[in-house]
Order: sequence, then C-alpha cells, then structure tokens
Amino acid sequence: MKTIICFIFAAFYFVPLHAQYKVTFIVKEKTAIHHDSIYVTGTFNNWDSTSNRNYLMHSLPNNEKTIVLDLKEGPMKYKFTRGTWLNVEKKEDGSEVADRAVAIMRDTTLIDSIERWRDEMLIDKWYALVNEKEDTSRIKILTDLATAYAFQTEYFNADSALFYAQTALQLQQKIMSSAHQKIEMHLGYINQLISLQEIVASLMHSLGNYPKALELRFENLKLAEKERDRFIMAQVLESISNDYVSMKDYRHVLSYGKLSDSILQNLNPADPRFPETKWNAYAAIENAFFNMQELDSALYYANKMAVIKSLPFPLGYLASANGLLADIYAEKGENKTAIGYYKLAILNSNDYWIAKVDAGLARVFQKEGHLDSALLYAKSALTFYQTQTKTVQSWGENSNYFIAEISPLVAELYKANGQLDSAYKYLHLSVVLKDSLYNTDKVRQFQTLTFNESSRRQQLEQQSKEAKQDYDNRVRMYGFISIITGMLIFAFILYRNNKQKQKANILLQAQKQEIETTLSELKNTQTQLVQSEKMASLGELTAGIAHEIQNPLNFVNNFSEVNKDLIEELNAERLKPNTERDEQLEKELLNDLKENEEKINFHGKRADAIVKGMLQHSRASKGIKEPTNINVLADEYFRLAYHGLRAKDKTFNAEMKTDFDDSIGKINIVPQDIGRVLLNLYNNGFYAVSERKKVEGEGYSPLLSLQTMKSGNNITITVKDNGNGIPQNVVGKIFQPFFTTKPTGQGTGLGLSLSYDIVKAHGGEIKVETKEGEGTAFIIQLPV
Amino acid sequence: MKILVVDDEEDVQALFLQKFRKEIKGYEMEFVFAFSGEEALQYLQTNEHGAVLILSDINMPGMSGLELLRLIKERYEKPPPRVMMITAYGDDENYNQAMKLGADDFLTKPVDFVALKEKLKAKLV
Repeated sequence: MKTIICFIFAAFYFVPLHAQYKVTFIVKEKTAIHHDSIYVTGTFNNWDSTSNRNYLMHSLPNNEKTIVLDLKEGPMKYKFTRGTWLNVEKKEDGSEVADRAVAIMRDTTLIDSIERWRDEMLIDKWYALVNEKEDTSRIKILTDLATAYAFQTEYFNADSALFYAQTALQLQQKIMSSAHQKIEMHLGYINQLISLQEIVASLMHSLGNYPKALELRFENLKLAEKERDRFIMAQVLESISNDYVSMKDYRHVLSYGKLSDSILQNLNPADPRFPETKWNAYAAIENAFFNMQELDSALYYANKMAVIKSLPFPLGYLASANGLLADIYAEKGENKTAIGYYKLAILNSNDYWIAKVDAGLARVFQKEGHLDSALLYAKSALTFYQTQTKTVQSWGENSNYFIAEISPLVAELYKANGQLDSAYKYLHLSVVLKDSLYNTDKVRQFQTLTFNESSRRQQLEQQSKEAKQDYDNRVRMYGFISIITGMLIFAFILYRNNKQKQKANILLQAQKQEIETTLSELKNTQTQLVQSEKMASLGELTAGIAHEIQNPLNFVNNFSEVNKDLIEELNAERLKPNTERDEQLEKELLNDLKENEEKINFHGKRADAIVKGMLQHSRASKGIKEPTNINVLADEYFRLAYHGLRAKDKTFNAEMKTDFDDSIGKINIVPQDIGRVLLNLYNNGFYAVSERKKVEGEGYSPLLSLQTMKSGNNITITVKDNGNGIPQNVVGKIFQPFFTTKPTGQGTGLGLSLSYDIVKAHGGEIKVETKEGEGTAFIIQLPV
Repeated sequence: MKILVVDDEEDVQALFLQKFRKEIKGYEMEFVFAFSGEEALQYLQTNEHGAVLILSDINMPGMSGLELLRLIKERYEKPPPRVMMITAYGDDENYNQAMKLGADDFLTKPVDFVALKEKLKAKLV
C-alpha cells in the first residue's frame, strides 16, 4: 500500500553569521540507474539533521549532474547516498559510506560520484530474477522491483514500475489459468494480487489517470472482500477515497473514509497496521469535511488524528495533523492560531507537507494583506510541485493536481501586484491543467465506475437485508399470532363470564388457571419457534452434508440399475444357441457386473461413514460438565477422525502417536464439546499432513501425535502434526470465524473459532505453535 | 455426437459408459469426461468444436458448474455448445441462475437416464 508520509527531515532555518558561499557539487553517476535527485547528509556548521534530505540535481553534459547549495564558511563533512535516514546505504563489506571532509572558504566546486555498488538493491534483484525459475518466487521479485520503482523516491520510474508490475500480473494470471484452484485460494496469492494492483493503481493515480486507478482499487475491494482480510479492506477503501479526493467528489471521500473507519472499529488495535490505517481513515473523513466546509467536524477528526498512538513515525504524523489543524483554523479565519499550527507542522515534516504548509501560509498571508509574503510562499509551493514531480509521484500523487490548486492563488497575487502578464500566465496554466485532469471523459468514466460499484454494493446489502427481513417478518408474525390468540381467549372468558354470573368466582378461578396454562403454552411455542429458527440455520449448514450423502446414494441406485440391465443382457445372451453366444461379451458383462458391485459397496460405505460422522458431530451437547477421562475421550476421537478420513480417501494414511499421562484421572468438562474441539484439531492435522504428502510423495512420512500432560492445576493436550506449518501472515487469523485455507466446500472456516469459544468457556486456553515447513502444534490448556 | 460430461465424481464416467453402452457401440454418441470445471475448459480450449453438448454438474470444488457455464457462453460465441446443467440441489436459485447464464437445460440428480437419453437423441436430430 502506498504511504504518503515518508518522513525525511527537511527545511533549513538559519541566521547568517558567517560569509555565505556557493558550493557546487558535480555528481558523476557510475550506476545503471540515473536519478533526478539525491539524498545528502552532512555535518557542518550551518547544517543540522533537518537538512538531510533529497536534493534535486540538474543535468550537465557527459552524464554529470549538479547541485548548488548556499553554505556558510567553515569545515564540512558530507556524503551522497541513495538511501534515506530510514535505510542507510551500506558498502559491499557492510560498512557505512564514509563522510567526505572539506573546508569551505570561497565559492567551491566539489566533484563526487555515485558508485556502481549502490545499484545493488536493484541489481541483486535482477540477478535473482534471471536465476529464479519458480513462477511464484519470480512474482515476488517482480513485485519488489515494481515497489522500489513505484514508491522509493530515489528510484522512482513509472515506466519500469509498470513494466515489472504488469509482468508480475501476467505471470500470476498464467498460474491462475493453468494450475488448479488451490493456488488461487491460497491467501498469500490474493494479497499479492492486491498489492500488485495497488502498485499499478497508485502509478495510474500519479499519472493523473484517476478512473483507471479507481477501477483497479474497486477490483482490489472485491478481492479483499473475498479474502475477508479486513485490514486490507480498510486500506483499499482509503485508497479509493483518495481517488475521489483527486476528482473532488467529497461525498464519496466521506462515505469511503467512514466505511474504512467502521471496519477498523472491529479490529484489534494492537495490530501493527492499526494506527496508520486508522490515521488514514480519519484523514479521509477530515479531508471530506474540510472541503465540504463542515469545519467543526473536520476539526473534530483532525484533533483525533493528533492523538493516535503508536504510529511508525510519531513526530511526522503529528506534524501532518498540525498542518491539517492549521488549514482548518485558517479557513475559520483564526489566522493567528493557524500560523501557530503551521509553525508546528513544519517541524519534522517531509517535503510533501512543507509544500502544503507553504500553500497554507500563502493563503493566510493573503488574507492578512501581506501580499509579498503570500506570493513568496505560494511560489515556493508551486516551484516544489513543478520541479519535484517524481517525488510527488512516488507518493502516489500527481503534481498537476497541486499545481492546478495553487496557480490561481499565484495569479491572484500577481494581479494584486499589478503584474497582469504573470497573472494571466498562471491562470491559463490552471485552466489547462484542470481541463486535462477533469475533462468530461474522465468525469463520465468516474461516474460509471461509481455507479457500478454502488449497484454492486446495493446488491450485497439487499441480500443481507432480505435475509434479515425474512427473520424479522417471521418473528413479527409469531408475535401477532400470540396476541390474537390471547385476545380470542380473553373474549371467550368475557363471554363465559356474562353467561354464568352465578358461578363467577369458581369459574374465574378456573379460567385464571386456564389463562396461565395457555400463556405458558404460548411461551413454550415461542421457545420452540426460536429453536426451529436455529434449526433452520443449522439446516443451511447441513445442506452441504446432505449433498455429500445424496451423491453416493445416487451411485448406489444407478449402478444397481445398470446391473439389472447387464444381467438381463447376459441372460439374453445365454438363451442363444451355443454357436451364436458371444463369449467375449459375456466375459465383459460379468466383469462390469463385478466392478459395479464393488462401486455399489464403496458408495454405500461412503454414505454410511458420512452419516456416522454427522451423528457423532450433531449429538446435542447437554452443556453439562461431567467428570470425564480425557485420555479415553481424546483417544476415541483420534481414531474416529482417522477412520473418518480413511473412509473418504483410501489412499490416505498417517502414523499416529499417543502419549497419555495416566495421572490425570477424571476432569470436569463437557465431553461432547471438548470432543468436537479435538476432532477438529485432528482433522486439521490430518489435512495438513495429507496436503504435504501430496506434494512431497514418497520421501515424507505423515505423523500426527497426541499428548496429554498434567502440570499443577492444569492439564495440557497437545495435537502436533509434521505438515507444512501455517504461514506467518496467516497465523493471526486462524481463530477468526469463517477463516479457512481449504478450498471452497472443504471447510466452513468455523472449526477453530468454535474450538476457541469452547475452550474459553471451559476457562482454558488454546494456543498454536507453528513453523513453516516443519509442522504445527495446537496446545489446549484446561483447568482441572 | 460428442458429449462432454463434467463432474467431480469420477465414477460418473463408468456410469455413463455403461448406461450408454449401446449408443457408444453404435457410434451414435461419444463421451469425453472432465473431473473439474478447469479441466473442462482446458479440453474446450484444445478442442474448440470438440463437444456439441456439455453436461455439467453444478456443485464442484474450485470452479463451479455455473462459473463454467458462464465462461463457455462468453468465450465460445459461435456457435456456443449446448450446455445442460445437472445438480443435486434442484432449488429455484440454481435453476434461475443457470437459465440466466444461458443453460440449455436443467436436470436434477438422481438423473433419470431414460429421460436424458430421449433428450440427447432429440438433440441429435
């Protein structure tokens, strides 16, 4: 995902004490990649760490480039690197690049070079690419290259980034169409696809092609929804809102920002991605409110942004939030407060925010009547956007957008100054750019995309609404029925009352009783109805299982019918005179008969196994804890799981090891529930080893081991497999409901989440230890 | 007439070969089998006009029968092969969706082979 905020210390503020000299650096690039800007770090008497940043270079003949800096006299140390303060470039031997020491006493020209080894970051990847034959690994390398070219300011090159991203996408499509669905379903795969498409989207956005960017991000949204990775969903929504910012459709900016925020409300704030994603969601909402002139709401969100904790570069984010606050106060006309915040914003800011602050200050000074200062700041912002287009692009933004924003201000200021020529020039520039950015074609494309997406969303909502309405209607109907029944009974009582006044007392007594029983019956009915509602949802789950049974039963019926036909044919053949009998045909028929019988038997057993498994599983849990021998229970389900799988897949086999601690005795648990947990862990384990077996074949022997142990007041049950292990990026999600890595139809994704709930309800804990390529162990801890 | 049968249950092959034993012997019909939607698409890609009629199960792991139906009707425009859908779930939603995607017929499991044979023969003419 794109991160706009890439903090590089910047800006100089210094008071001239010594004489100033022009220092011209001539940089020879001995590298494969040529740069427009270079990162300069240094220590000298007019230079502090905020001056360490990217400086634009101007081209000279002979592949040389130059930077000219105004520096005070005195000693200086400096170096050029292509890293930033975040990733300091290292030499081949791992040592840092040394500083060069020079004394400045007059206007000076220094010759420097960027050495070839600095290409390593990219060159390594190229070599890797050439040597890597495995498509999935090639995709990873191509993605890295595309990321470097798209998002690293020093390497930014839209063509190269697009080339690598598209090559990776093509490769991925190739895999998708040739290999079977497992790769497609694999988690990393979809995330990879999303990040590749985000690279292309960001590039498209940075090139001003907002509709294409939006289209790709909508595709990403669909993928993320399918994937159910809600962090990625939130991030995609934020990118989408950014496309709408560029098209100035703030209503949609707001709705996508809020959507992202509402997703984040259900996510774990301890997740490392949380603070930044939250920040971006608030930023979208703030931006929308600000531009819709709802300044108090904007203020509310900007203040919330300023207090988000645990951001990756806290000072930088704080500076950005201050910049937004300043903009709001400026818009409210509280110029003093605004200037105060702008001053705070400029500390620890990167170039992107400094340009924004310059633009903001220009507007404030204009209002205050300091037109000269206003023009100075406005021009400074404009110059940044005009010269540092690639820097802006590497943040996924388009310079023209900002230029179009600021040039009307510059024009106005020139006009006020009486410089009508310049005023016209900048006004014209703004018109031309706006026309290219927001021409009717683009607006139409944007509207079409927006419309398609909103109708897709409506369909999704409609579906869930219908389901809910259905349920509500039913509940309402039952309520209605019970009211009517109650009223009828009441009318009946009144009638009887009138008729038999004399026996009133006795009757009333009886009737009271009657009402009470009716009421309790009604209550019973109601509970039953709730229960049947539950059963209905259970029914949906079992539909899949019913299908599993229907299939083998169909085979049993079909093959037995075929056999009937075969026997008739055989009999007909046998009735023929001996000379006409076709021995070969008879043999064939008999052989088919035998094979069909085997098939009938096989499918019969298959249905049998499924039914048995279902009964085991749906045996209603009484929810009552009873003293249970955990060793016996664990062993019983261990074998059940094994035979269940063997029944389904004859080729499946695995070694089973058990190690029981006999000192455990009986512990208080709900046996059906814990049994379900264990069954689930066994099934997962067997699945993991069988998946690995499929890939590795003979050289690998599947093993599932079960261990129980008592330690203090706890018992632990460990189910350990030697399968493929769980990838690191997935481990955090396995206990979430509906999360599954199995292909559709093979897992509901509810097993582990139910297990988690059951173990929690027992006051215990369930943990997972896994190592990719070595296996997984699930450890259940229960209090005795 | 070549018929492509798509079903993830491998025994379907044996079943069809025996149920249509006479037709196959008499060269009236020829059957090819694919055990997944992906495999079916692969077959169609290498044998573009290889199958006049496709019988596909709906509920399959990976690419579903409906997905396959959609792809076939999208990719093979003229003339698209006839596609009959077979499913154990005879519900309206499956039916409506199959029809919307351009299915030529819709059968429910267990398949009535007598009726199927008649239908296939009718389409032969």
